[in-house]
Amino acid sequence: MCVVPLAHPATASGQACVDPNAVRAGGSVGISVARYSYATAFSVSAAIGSRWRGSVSVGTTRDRDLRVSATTLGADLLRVVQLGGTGRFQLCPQLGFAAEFGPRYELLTPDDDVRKTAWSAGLQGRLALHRTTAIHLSITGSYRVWRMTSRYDHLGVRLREVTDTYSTLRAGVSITYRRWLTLTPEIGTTQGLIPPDRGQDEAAPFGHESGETSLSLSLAIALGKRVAAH
Amino acid sequence: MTGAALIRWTARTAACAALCLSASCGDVLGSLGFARPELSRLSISDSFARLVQGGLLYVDGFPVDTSFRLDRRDRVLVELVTSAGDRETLNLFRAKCPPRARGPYYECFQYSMMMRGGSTAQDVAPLVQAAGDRFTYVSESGALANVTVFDAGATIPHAQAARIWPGVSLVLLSQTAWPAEAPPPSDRRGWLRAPMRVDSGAVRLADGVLQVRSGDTIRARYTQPSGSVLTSPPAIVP
Repeated sequence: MCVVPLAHPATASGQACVDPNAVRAGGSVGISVARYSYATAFSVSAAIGSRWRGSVSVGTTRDRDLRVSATTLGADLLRVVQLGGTGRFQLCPQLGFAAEFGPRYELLTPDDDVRKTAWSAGLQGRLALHRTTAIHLSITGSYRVWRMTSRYDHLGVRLREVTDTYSTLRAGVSITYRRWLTLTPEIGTTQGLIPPDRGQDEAAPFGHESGETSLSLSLAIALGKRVAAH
Repeated sequence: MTGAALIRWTARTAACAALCLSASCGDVLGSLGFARPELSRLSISDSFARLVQGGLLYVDGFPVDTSFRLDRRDRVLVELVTSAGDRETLNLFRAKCPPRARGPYYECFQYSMMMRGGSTAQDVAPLVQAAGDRFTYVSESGALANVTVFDAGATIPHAQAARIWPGVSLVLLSQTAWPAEAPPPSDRRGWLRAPMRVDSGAVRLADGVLQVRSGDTIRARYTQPSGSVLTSPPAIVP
């Protein structure tokens, strides 16, 4: 069974598209931490399914400068497609939804609320480099396009609503130990955000700067019984 | 690569990644440095100058390249000199914080407070002083005040602490203070600024406080990348 894809780019681990031979069937739980230039994101997630996989996640993104946080909820659905018949390469089309609540800037705009929702579609890929009974080592990559709508309210009155499109690109290494513990360090970047100097965050995920490189680390524990290797 | 070697490699990778993902990673990897952009103008702000005992002044620098953005770990070194002989160094930082491309902005070195009825800013003056901060402005009634924090990294913690001071009704980071000489909005991200404490009395060189007397003139000086020295128009102590 897969390790968990997290829906929001602030927490997305990109590790959903796993080699079914490398992990157990059933489900998985995971934690993820991602570091951006001024924010740190933590999340926990759970997934279920095999060829079709669904997952949900909850996380928080903390602005280290302003000391405020946003809460993120996410859901993902993907399909694992084995290529080549050897199990070395998988492609995973993926759909996702994410909602972000906050942050509330108590020292700047204490009566303002922000809520963001985003739909995404993308493709993940995984190539197994090394496979033994104990260790599976793979490289991973993903590209997702996000359509985000941001809503800004002041004392319950809508100030503005902005919708925009951006994309995320991630690549990393995945190490699975004895089919139950998977560690995935990744780097990622966000492209196509609304240009800066136009005021508020607008339709951009909290904590992100366009074009910046971020680092994330995910740890997942697979649950369920062992499946036979293909 | 054997399984055991892979496990060791994985453990090392995880440890390194965990270190770099920790909250202090940026501070560990990058110490403070100095940038030296070419400046078109250097000025001592008329809007934020209280040249009296317990006062302060602000120095502003405007890069020629309006797309210049000072890194959060860098400062721009200028020198303040008075006609009486005092000489202090000052590290310019960004005027607007936080140092990033988007999102809400505030004055890096200031916050504002509103007092409850019956209280005035003078009631919390000892707390402001104990924090190492100084009033930039106090309204005639004492109900409103702006406070200057001399370390940009301490502005938010100091503002948060002030929220629970007795008599304080509301604390906000300052967002609106743009003096007349401010560049157009699109160029303000590169604007450099820093405050300096001002006291009256005898000159003490390089003590982090500018000592002034009535009639003194104050100038800021900056050495350009070319080696030439840019000097601000003088501020005259009343």
